Amino acid sequence: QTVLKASDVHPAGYPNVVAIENLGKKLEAATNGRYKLQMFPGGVLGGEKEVIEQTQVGAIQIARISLGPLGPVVPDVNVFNMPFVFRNEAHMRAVIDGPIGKELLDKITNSPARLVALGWMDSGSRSLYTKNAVKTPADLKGQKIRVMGNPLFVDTMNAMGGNGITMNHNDTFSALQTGVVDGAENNPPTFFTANHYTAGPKFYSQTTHLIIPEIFVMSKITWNKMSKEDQDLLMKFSREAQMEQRALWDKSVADYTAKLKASGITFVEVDKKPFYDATAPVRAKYGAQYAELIKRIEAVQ
Amino acid sequence: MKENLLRGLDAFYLLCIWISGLAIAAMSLVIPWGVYARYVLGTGSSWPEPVAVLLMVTFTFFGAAAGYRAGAHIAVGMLVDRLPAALQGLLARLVDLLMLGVCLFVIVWGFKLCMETMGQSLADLPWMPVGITYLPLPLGSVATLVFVLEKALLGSQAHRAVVRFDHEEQAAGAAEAA
Amino acid sequence: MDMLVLLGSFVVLMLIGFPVAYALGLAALVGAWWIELPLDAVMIQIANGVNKFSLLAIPCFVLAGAIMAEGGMARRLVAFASVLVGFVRGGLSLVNILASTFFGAISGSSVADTASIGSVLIPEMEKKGYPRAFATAVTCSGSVQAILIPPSHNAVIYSMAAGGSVSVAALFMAGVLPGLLLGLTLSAYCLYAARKNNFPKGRAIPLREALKICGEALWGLMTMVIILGGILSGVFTATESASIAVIWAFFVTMFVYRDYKWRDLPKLMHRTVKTVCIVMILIGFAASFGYIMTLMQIPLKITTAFTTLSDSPVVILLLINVLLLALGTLMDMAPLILILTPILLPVVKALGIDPVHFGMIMMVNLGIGLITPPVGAVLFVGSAVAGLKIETVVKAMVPFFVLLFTVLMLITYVPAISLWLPRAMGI
Ligand code: NA
Ligand code: NA
Repeated sequence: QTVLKASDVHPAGYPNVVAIENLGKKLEAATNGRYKLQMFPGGVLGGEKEVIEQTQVGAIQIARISLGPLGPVVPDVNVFNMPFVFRNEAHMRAVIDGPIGKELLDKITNSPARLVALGWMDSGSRSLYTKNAVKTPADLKGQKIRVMGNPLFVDTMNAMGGNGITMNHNDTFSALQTGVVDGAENNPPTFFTANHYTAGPKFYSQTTHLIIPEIFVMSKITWNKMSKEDQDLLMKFSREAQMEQRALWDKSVADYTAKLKASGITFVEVDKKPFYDATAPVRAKYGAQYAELIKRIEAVQ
Repeated sequence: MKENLLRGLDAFYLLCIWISGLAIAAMSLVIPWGVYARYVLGTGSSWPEPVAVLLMVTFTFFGAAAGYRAGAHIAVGMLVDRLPAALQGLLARLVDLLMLGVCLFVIVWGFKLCMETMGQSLADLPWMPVGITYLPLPLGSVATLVFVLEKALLGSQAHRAVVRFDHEEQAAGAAEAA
Repeated sequence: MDMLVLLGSFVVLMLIGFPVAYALGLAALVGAWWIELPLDAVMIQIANGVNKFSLLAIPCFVLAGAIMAEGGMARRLVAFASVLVGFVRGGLSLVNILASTFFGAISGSSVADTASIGSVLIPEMEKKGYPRAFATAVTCSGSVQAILIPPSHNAVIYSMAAGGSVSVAALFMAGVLPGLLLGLTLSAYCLYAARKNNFPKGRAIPLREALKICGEALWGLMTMVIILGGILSGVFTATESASIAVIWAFFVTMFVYRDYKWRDLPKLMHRTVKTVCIVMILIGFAASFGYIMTLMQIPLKITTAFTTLSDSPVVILLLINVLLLALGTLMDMAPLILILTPILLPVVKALGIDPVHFGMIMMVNLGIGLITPPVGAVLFVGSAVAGLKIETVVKAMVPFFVLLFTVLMLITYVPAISLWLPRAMGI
């Protein structure tokens, strides 16, 4: 029996974790127990950076990761980090389900990253949460907004009218609480589960400026030890996991949105056009080298 | 000959201390710069964090090498101290040998990890390869290895003047021996 | 069997006198080999164990404390404490404890506290007629406050060992009342002992002199105001506050007190490097050990074992206290926090105990471990500073052990002592 150790920084019960656990159950049943999946959720095996390295050396078999660390090996994935590169979530799903999605997974698999890309996962869209409602870039003036550690995200926030402050996720809660930052940006489930809604922000302004999918990968060492039949099985269940996670994700967004509203957070509809226009220089600066791919993404209906 | 070698190692010890000390000093300046940038320049700069972390890893592994020579590492001597001298000597050899093993592990596997992660880069500092951030581990462990060999072949040098430069520490050292 | 291989090899290495940090790494290697894990995995964890921004607070707090302690801060805090409590009967013993309270507000190191306060006050107390062993016992037990009163780098280590899920700011605030409770309990006993043994009264300090002393001490005590004020008002994060503390400590020592010479700085650096790197490398190797533990699902197994023993939080907490006290007599604080937090935190969380509260329980327990034989860093340094045999000091410490244990029980079973302040401040 081969035990597949799977890692996710998200906690048990999170859509991504559940989808991978179910993938494991299906694989176990289909192979008469030759494979068994053991899930380590909640980042117990370390942060994403360590987890990827562990997967590369074959100490972890399956890892759900964000695209950031893959940028240097497969530059094309950087396109997804760009603000407003997708019109909306449906557009993003159409792209990752279609030929572009397949092509990028293959690129990752064929890159020197020593990983086999199994499938995509939805992590929704990121919007602003602050003490005041944000409807135009002017509303963000002078506000310090926590963003993920990447110059692209800092530039994006600055272009949107605020001041992008990089900070690791763990420090963000107390930074919001004490006012080191005035706000942050994330999807509704994380806004809730990280308790940020209790730390000061009162408004969730739906700019959906970033729609960045995540992926799950397998260690190439493990993959190469599997028979062709088992590989095909795994690929089939991975595609199913990609779809299952999506359903779970939508349900979770609805749940957490309701919970946030119940705890007094006001959801604000935002006209995205001014923010889209304001971030055009960012797309020009970081997107020049991917012009072809961006054109193809825009063409997807 | 032996005395010359030890003097050379004294210099090497001080080099480790200086690398470590300057790294810690630089680190204490880099982070306040980040705070300054946030308030005065009005925007977050993302380089102070990874640079400060790199400095921290540097001082940790070079300082730990020096700490090994100084006998500063925490160890439990309770059982060993109660054993007959011959057995104590034997165990000390075993400790030396295993320390050699740990150092070699960090050197060999550490370099391997550096090479493998040279192609990856830090999210908040895209021009910095991850491999560089791991480099102080094998390098510092080479320094540790030098002091492990010194201790194994020439005996403990924790009493040398460069190591115990003031009597305050001598007092603390005496207490640990007691 | 997994557990036996990993923990067993660690214990054997410890017993043969192997340095704890490297023993954790070597045991992790043995464990990895046993569960057929590529050894690269161990290396990755060691490398990432120290590669974390939140860890920066640890060397910075230690450095800030070291600068303050060396730069004549201890002497000024003792003088300040004398102004406040020196004039009562047994005054000097109260001064000793209060000086430790103040010292705790600039440093998180009990060893540094004992070394610097002890070298000023133990000779002074003996001169005024206190038995030297009693003076040493007061110094050692008073120094436990340094761990509890913010800033405390051990609280940062705990927060990190808990996977970053426990806020450092909350831990800092949670330590204030337990620290003061400890100081008050010890002070009450010293007053009683002073009556009983007819220890001398100190002199009341004239107003003009008192004001000068207060003024000087305030520069140092501003450290805590800056750290806590900065964190709570949101000027900087807990991690950043530590580096601000270094800058402040350096400024006060070199430009306000000016009794530390520039040419002594390399010496200070030398000393600090040795202290800090020992802790930092321990954290790196402990990360690999913890990783193998998690892969072997040891924390899960121990949680199950504890819950089958009893489902009463009172009993489990008592068992955990006994375990921590027992291990604390043998081992140092940082490695124990790093090894035990991932194991015990799931146990207490399952019982609904707040991780911040548990952090305080751990701090007090392991703080007691620093002053108990056979292995206790504070006890060793205290005895060395006093020039006394460890046995002599331990005998004088017996009543203090009883008091510390009482405080431990209060902190364990009255969560409000730890949690009231952070809750009231909304963190
Ligand atoms: Na303290
Ligand atoms: Na002890």
